[in-house]
Amino acid sequence: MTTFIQQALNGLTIGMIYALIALGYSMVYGVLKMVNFAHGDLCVLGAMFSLTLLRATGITKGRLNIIEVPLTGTRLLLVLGMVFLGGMLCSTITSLIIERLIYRPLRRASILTVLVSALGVSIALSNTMMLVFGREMKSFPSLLKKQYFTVLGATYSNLQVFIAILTILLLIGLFYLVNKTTLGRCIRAVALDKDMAGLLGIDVNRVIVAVFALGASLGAVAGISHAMYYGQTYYLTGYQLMILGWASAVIGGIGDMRGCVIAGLLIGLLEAVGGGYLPILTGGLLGADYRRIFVFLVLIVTLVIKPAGILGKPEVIVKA
Amino acid sequence: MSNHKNDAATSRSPGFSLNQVQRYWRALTKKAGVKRALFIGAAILLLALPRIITSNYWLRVIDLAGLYVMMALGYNLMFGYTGLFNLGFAAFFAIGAYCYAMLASPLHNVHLPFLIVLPLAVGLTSLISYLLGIPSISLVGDYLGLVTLSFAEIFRILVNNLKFTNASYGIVNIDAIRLPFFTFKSVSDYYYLILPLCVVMYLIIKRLEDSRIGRAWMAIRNDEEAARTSGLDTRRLKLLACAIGVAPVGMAGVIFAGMQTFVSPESFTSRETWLIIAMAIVGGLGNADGAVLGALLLTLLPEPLRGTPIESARTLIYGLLLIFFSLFRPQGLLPRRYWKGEAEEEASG
Repeated sequence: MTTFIQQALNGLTIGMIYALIALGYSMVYGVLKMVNFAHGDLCVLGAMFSLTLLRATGITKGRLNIIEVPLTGTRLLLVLGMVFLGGMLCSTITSLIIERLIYRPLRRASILTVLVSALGVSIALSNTMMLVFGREMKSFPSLLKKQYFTVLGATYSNLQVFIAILTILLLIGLFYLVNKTTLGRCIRAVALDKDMAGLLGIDVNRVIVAVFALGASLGAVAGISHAMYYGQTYYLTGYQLMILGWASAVIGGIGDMRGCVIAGLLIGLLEAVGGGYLPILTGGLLGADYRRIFVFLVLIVTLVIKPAGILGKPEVIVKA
Repeated sequence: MSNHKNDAATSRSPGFSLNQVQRYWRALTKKAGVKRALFIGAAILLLALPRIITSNYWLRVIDLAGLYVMMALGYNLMFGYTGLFNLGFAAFFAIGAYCYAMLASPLHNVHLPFLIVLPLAVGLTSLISYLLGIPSISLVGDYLGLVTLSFAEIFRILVNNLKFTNASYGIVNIDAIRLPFFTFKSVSDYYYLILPLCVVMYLIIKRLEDSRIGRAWMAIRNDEEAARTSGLDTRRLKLLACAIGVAPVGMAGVIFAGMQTFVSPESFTSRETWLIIAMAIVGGLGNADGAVLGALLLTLLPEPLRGTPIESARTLIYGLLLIFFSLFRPQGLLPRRYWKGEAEEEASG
């Protein structure tokens, strides 16, 4: 039982990160009806850039990016602010450049052309990161001084609490923005019908820019949290994040924000609980490496049973 | 008439004046004698290539280019003709390669001859693609991409961890490819294995392009609902495209394993899939000639860059090519044939 609670807590933490990434996919899909392959790479870009900031300001040192003086009080807050805001800014600016230069001219092109261009952006972005930041796996400091709590016999670190609180705050903010503000109403209108929204006087381009900015900011937070949680970042991590985030978005029902959050948490849980139990149940025959397989099986089963996702509405996803 | 339509379709995109080149080429090859002379010349050149190029290094590159030609042809069939967005091609390449590697190596101490493994491997590759298609084929473009991408990832995880496939160590000392009367030893031997297979693949796919099935596939790509309304069994046709499209990929995998005598999960990453997609896009989707051209260009052109600092940017260049062609020449270097009225419809979205 303790193992289960432990894995469930770990899974929920990582699930929050997936939920943030899935929201980025889902929102862009909502307004443009395209899958932004590059989103996973934008998340990693945020982490890479904030790591560069940490090194440039001399907070972390050496090849392993160790923090020599533990951060406390105001200094910790300032550093966290710099890391997250810097990463968000970098991802957002890159995302907007991509939107303006590549996705916007292709808005009326055929869907297959758009998909190919998005794939190209993802490949180009991850390999540019490789050239700029290096091809090795980089260790990423957790910034917080490690502290552990015991909940129902399971240990929970302050980093996990931090990620959970941060995600919940962001989600509350996002849901408020989308459901209660004028911008949110415009986003929903554009998602429903771009042309009609344009006719009613909504500046569709500005709404799309806002969605890309929101998605990239959430993605950067997710990327940095992911890097802090695992203590490392790597230029190819974006590929993994892309698959998992996209899978969460699809399982939850792409375009539906609540569905994305639920599916993200579900996938995190599945990965952690499945990964935790596999070696025990199979007597070490199947290791935790196989945990991702559950995710993909759930994805395929979801697509077969309810292709629109858990909360999605059956639209044009299936042509049968 | 059809020529005129083609020009109207291609001249709309800015940048290249390739259609000009194409027009000259068509005018030149219209004369029967010129066409025959060119054909014979090309055939002689291709057959004598290992005598002209003596460097083993370059012959190996050309052999690999031949394998990529097969794969690009398969991709062209699935994506170019039928519009099925497969993002897991590396996995099918790996299935072919691992089939041969496990059935003809000391790993399990099984040494089956090539002529038995080849149909087995190709059949298995097609079967897996078909089975994967059954639950996912009715999904729209990007969803199919996600399913195939996940499949490739599952496959990579399995191969990387199972003892059965020797995990991440890979399989070494794979048997060289043997026919009953001949063993392929050098890279020039392999050239004479790969060249005829490429030609056969090309001819089959070219014939399919003009066949009833090919036209049905293209009808599905252009408008699936209209195709179904016209009485086509779109589901069966798409599954057929899934099965046939990966067959050349499986075959390329088998030969790759025999030629390299070593396979490991490292050789079948998503990077291979991106490369094949880039070939099909650069050459021109929906056109077998385009696939061949794209595969040859993208394997042969970057070779002189090997060893220079630009080499590490190779994958980046594939990405940039995809972006560039999507933006400025979505029809690729050699555009496919457009049907009457089709081009206008596509341009207006």
